Amino acid sequence: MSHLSFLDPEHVAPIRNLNLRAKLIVEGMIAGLHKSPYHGFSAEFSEYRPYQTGESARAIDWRKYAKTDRSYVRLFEDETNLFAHLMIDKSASMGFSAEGRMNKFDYARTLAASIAWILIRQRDAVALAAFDERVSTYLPPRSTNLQLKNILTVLERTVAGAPTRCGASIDRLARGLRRRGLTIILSDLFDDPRDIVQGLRHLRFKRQDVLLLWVIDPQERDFPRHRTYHLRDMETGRTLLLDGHTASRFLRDGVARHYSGIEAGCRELKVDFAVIETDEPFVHALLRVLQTRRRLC
Amino acid sequence: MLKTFGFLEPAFLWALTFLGLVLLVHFLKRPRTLRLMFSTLRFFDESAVAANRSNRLRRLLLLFVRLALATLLVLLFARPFIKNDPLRVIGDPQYEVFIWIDRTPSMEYRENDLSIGERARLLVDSLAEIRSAAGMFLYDHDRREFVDLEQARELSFSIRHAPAAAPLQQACERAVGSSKRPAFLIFSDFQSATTGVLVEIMSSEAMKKVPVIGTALTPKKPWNAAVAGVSGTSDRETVIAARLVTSGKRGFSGSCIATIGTIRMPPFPCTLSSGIDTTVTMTAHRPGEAGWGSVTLRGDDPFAFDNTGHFVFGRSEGFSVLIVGDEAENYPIAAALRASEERRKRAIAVRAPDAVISGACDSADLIIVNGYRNVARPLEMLQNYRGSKKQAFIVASASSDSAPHAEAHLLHRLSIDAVPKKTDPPLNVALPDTISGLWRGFPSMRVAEARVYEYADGLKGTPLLLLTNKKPLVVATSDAFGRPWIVAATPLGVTSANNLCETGFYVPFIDRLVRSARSALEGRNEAWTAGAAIKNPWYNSRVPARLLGTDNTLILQLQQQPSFVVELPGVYTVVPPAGTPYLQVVVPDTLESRLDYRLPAADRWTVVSPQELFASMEGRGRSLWRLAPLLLLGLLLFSELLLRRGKQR
Repeated sequence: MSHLSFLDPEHVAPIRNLNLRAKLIVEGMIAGLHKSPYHGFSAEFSEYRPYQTGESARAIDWRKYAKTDRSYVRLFEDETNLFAHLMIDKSASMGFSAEGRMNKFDYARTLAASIAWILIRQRDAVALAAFDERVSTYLPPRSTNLQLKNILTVLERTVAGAPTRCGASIDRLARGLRRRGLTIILSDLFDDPRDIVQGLRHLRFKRQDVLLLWVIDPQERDFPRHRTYHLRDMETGRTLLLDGHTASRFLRDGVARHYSGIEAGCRELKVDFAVIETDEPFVHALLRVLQTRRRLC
Repeated sequence: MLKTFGFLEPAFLWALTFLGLVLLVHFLKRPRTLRLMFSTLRFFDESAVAANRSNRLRRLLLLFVRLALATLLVLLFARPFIKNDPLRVIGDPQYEVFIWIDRTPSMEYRENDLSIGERARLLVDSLAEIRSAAGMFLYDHDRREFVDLEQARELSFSIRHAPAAAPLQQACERAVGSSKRPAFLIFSDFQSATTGVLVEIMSSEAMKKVPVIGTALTPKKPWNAAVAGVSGTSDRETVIAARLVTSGKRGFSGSCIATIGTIRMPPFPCTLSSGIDTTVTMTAHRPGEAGWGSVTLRGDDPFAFDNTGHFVFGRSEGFSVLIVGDEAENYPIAAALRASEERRKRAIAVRAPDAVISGACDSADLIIVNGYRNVARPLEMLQNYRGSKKQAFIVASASSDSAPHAEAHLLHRLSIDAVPKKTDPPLNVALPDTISGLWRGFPSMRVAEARVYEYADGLKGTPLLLLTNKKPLVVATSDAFGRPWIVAATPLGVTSANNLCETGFYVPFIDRLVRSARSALEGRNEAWTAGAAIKNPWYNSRVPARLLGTDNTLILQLQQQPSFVVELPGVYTVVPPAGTPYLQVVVPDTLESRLDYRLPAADRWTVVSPQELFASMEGRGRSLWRLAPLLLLGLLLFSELLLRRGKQR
């Protein structure tokens, strides 16, 4: 996979055009694989069912008719339109980056664009919801190329900047869902784990397969200890002066507790949960998403 | 504060710049502050703030501990001292230290096989090793001046006489005159006599501004046994009476050895409890032809210089006894005296008070007053003035039915206010010692037979004999003229106050009283005291008198000097310019055996123990600096703990 290193976030970041960025990632990924990822979303034969009156005659498998003298309709899995919801967190905390890395929001929207690009290309209906305290932007699911364009445009225009209420936003989105589908959430999940799990529970209730991606900067897991930090909360503006030892100890412990809380909820709800750090190459991250999706299917 | 302290090694204070290095390292290692917009502070609650505060405090504490460690280390090398601490002058090289070691006999007191004087000498040597010997001077008792300590290395400790005040004062004044910054360091046991002399010298005008440090070598639990006086008589047989005294915390256990000339008599075992003042009598069935002798105590005694008493045999013609009082009552006393061993040497006269004449009183060596109703005029006169002859008195308390007023009259002169007291049941006699030849072997049954029905309570003096109720039966005292008086609390003759004369106890009892009186009398001869200045009787005579040792070696020629000193106790032969040679006893200084210690007043003197002196010399200070290594260790442990806690977090 070394030839894909040019698809690392640091190399992709200078590319401003999200469409180009997503295309580059997806095409690059496909080029690196010997097997088409489309199969991953499965345009494979599923089963035969008897033809019913009123259906389009184009659906009849004529070869089967020739052999059996009965009319059958051939069903493919990918023919069932997938309703996928991409939820991206655009709270202020997602704007965090350290040591020159791509910030979390930028990373998340790149990943979201790539996923949308793949889904639209296989004619799945993709919806986009950007949220902070609430769901501020929502594009209903469509499977057209125009939808992809719209999604990319929205993602490009969205900036991170408000406080987070991740749990409440997920819950809010879940209320509006009618059909079974896939929901992919990209967020730093800096909210009360109980609220988040509550939101996930609501999604699961609405028959959603949920893929929860915790996008996190490596420095959000641990601090270098040889420094003193004058910290300012990007969402609340609260400031704090901490030495490296104390900051590191409390951050490590806090993140571990937070992760445990969410992970336990996900396990209970059978929600796929993955942590993606912003220094991870996009291709890796995308593959993890696709493999998760295959498992779901 | 800074003015209070000084440093023996101030050069080391430059090392305090090391503190700057400690500060620099601390601040360089201090983590830089990074301003950071962080995604969320939700994981940092109040406990994080508290932990951070405690971490900052710990770092600050660590800095202080490091600074304290560095400062303490530097101070240890710089050896601080308190400027107003008088002991500093000993360690201060700017001062010249003049050392005087007490060499009076009391410095011979031995503790742990080392005399106090030898210990003082060793301490001076140790002092010279800590502080350079340069600028230290030791008093040479022979040259009577302070000499450089380097030159005085060979000076050993030897006992000298009591501090001769004048030469010492002159030497001290010369030292003060020649030195810019003199200080005196005195090693002594501070016997009160020595202390008195030293205080007087150091209080002189020339010495007033000079610091004086006394190092007290006083024994912790002093005790002593001494031969306080010896007398010997020799006729057909030799009788030696030695007065033994114990003082201090312990008694004495050993033997008493009498020597006549060069012939030693068998050891006489003796055990004395503490606080004893008793007379041991020893007899030999051969005359003391040598004319002199000695009595020595052999045994464990830390203070042995006074364990030998020398004597010259007394007159062989005996002495006369005058018994004054009721004749019928007193005849048993005369009979008892005649029955005793020394009867041939005694001229005994019994007189009624009215029949006493001045001549009889004057010529008597011993006057016994007993059974009187009034005081004879000649006796009263004798009591009121000192005659040319040395005399002793034995006075017995009268019974209540005889003449209490007369008794009061006599005893009042001795400042004794005794009250006649009847006792029922009667009291017995308790012998105060078991070593006296007189009492030894005396059957206790016989003593128990001796009963006292009436006695005078409140006698004062040295008890010679006690009653069973611990009250004195006989005491020894002296009058204003220094004459010995022996006072009995009960009449000595035939009386209803006791039954003494009816028992076998009576003769030795009377004999003992007489011997005690005579011993006290002979003990007051004109013996010379070793180490003390003696007035020269042959001053400016044409022909010198000679003082010879027992082996006829010439000790001194006595002619031009107004006074002279004999260093060692013993028996010497004096050859006067005219007349026959005679023997002269030189006795140890009894002041030195008293164990009477008195430290100088603290107003001008600083009196310390050797340990304190050396602690000060070694820069450890007198109290706080001794704890410095412990403090250092404590700080190191504390800093280690702080570092460990920091790492654990």
